[in-house]
Amino acid sequence: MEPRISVRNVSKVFPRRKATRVKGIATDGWPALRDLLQKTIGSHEPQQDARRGRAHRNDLRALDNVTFAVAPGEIVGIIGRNGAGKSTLLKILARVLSPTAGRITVQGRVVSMLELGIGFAPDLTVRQNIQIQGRLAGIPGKHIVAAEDRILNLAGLLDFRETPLRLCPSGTAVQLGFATMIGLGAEVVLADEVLAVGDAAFRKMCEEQVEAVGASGVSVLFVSHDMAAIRRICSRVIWIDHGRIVQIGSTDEVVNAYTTELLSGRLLPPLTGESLAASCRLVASRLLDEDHSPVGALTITDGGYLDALVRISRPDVTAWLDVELWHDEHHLFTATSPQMQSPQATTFRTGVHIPADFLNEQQYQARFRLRAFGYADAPDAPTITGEERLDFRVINTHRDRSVWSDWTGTSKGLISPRLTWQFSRVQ
Amino acid sequence: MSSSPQPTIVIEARPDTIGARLRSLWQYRAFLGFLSKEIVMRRARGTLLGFWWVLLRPLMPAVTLIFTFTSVKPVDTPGNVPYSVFFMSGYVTWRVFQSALQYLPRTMTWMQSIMRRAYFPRVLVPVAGLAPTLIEFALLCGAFVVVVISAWWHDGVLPIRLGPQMLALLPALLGALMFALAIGMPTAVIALFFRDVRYAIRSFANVFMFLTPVVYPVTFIPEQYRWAMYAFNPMAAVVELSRWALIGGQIDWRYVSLSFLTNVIVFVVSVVFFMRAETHLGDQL
Repeated sequence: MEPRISVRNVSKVFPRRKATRVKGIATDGWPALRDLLQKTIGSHEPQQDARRGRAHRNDLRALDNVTFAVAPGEIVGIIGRNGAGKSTLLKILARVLSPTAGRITVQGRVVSMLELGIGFAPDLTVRQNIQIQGRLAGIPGKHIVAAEDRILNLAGLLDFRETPLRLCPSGTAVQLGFATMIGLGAEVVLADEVLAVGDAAFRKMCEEQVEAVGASGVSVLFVSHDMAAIRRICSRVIWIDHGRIVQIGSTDEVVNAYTTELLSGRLLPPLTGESLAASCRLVASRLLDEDHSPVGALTITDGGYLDALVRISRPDVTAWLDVELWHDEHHLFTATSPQMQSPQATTFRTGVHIPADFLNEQQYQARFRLRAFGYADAPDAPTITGEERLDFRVINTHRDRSVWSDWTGTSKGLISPRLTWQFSRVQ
Repeated sequence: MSSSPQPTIVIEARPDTIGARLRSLWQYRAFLGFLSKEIVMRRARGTLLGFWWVLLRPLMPAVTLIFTFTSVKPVDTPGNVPYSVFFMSGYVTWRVFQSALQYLPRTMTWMQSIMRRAYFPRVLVPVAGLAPTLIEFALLCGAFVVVVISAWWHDGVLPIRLGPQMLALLPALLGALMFALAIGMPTAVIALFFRDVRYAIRSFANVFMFLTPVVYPVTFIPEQYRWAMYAFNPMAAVVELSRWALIGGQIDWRYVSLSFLTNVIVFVVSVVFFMRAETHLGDQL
């Protein structure tokens, strides 16, 4: 059978631009504009450069001679680490980017969901949004109207047909985007990380729908980092790294090879100070009460957490969090978290518990410090990749229940732990 | 699944052929409506007067200029047409150009997020950017009628010439739209990189107004320099043609043709530039 999508020797080169400074303001406008004008009016022929391998050394080769074909009804997973070229490939197929070299033929209409909440105008109604998406895929108006109920049903938005999208429940845009993509009845569906959001039920629905349209003859190209989902729904997998196809084959075979490689850390570029900082970030620091809800202050009589969100995006990075507690110039203590490490990009929530009856009625400052090192090049000292300070106050709302209940004067001291007393008479 | 014939899309490194472009323009024609609506709403959103700005914006300078050149420093008009009628007859089409230049440089930036996510012929964006201008034109024509009627009531003479020559307003409108697109399309692309373009183009339009016979009759320009005005300023012919269509008077067809020739040349160059840039725009969004 004739392939639905045929990709032959496709390359894509991005000029890597440095920001220049114009009167002290950093801008990448000039190089970007120069690049565009060169391609538009200059004699510079990028595709010839690519063919002769004469691209500039600085350029980023996002895709390098990629060739594959997708048959009708196939669900093909595209995997690879961040920056491997997966999204570039989908964007070229969706004609948002044009290739630097090569030729692609697509039989049929394409709907795509390249970024979450695709092309949706928040001020227009749900129905109009479906119309726009359908028009963008080149689907005739009457087909869109016919597909409307199915789409609304899938997205769970039957009651919101004439509601502006911005007034719909949050998260709706993604559900609607997915439902529209699946429900419009185009021949090719391109999905980039659709399953990265939504709750378990939504993901399950997505997976079932993708399988169902695959069975009805629609070709799906599906980028995901979720190997479990890839295993469940894809019939074939393409593994891309550095813009080249590493392996194409049956799902299990390729996914196994990829995960083995990923865990060995060989796929990663060498860690530098910069990439370490980027792959290990202190996302947020917060003060939580005993019930883990964010608060602005703690009370003496209840405990709480000094809590942080830490994002670790490389498997070869080990990180831990120090929390220092300060009062004015006095350093009260340092608490160090256990080590954090993860084979996949993960956001950790880690917090140190502050017990009740411990801090005094004072102003404190918690200093969060994220330290990390990569074992690949095992530097001697870990690098600080994130620092944040959080000022908070401890107040005494239940004076009768606090350690100060028997005391009429002011509460003094940096901390006020509940201590016990011993009495004995000395003869 | 639908049973309509499946189109074959060919994606290659070289820019699309003219045929493929025209086909995709036809295929995406319905999208023009959405883009136009978005662009019109964009300005009205979050404002108190909303849609009324479409009328207020062109009328405020018009009132000032009419006041200046009737009461402060009266200007002689050919055929002693009331100045307000004289001014408005050229201003309706001049304003098309000026207003389009206020919208066009921003349109690409406005639609950036959609362009990042989906394919459609990018040229639809600047074309849709003409929508608010066309609304403004219609309203200004209404304002012109009001001015004419009040002058008629005041002087007892109808200051305009009713007749088939009024149809010449259409080529004048077309010329204004063409020149606006010719300037607007490349600036819309450049405005993706530099915001300054928007400010620069607005000042340019303001200055350009006084290089065009809008507030003054073309006879103010000495005869020996008049050809230069027409040759380098397509808006001169547009304004003259629109004035001739509405109030009649002298018009030099050789100059008007020269001016339209310049217009067509600039327009074609601009369209070719935009079409070629379109292919590479994705990298920059």
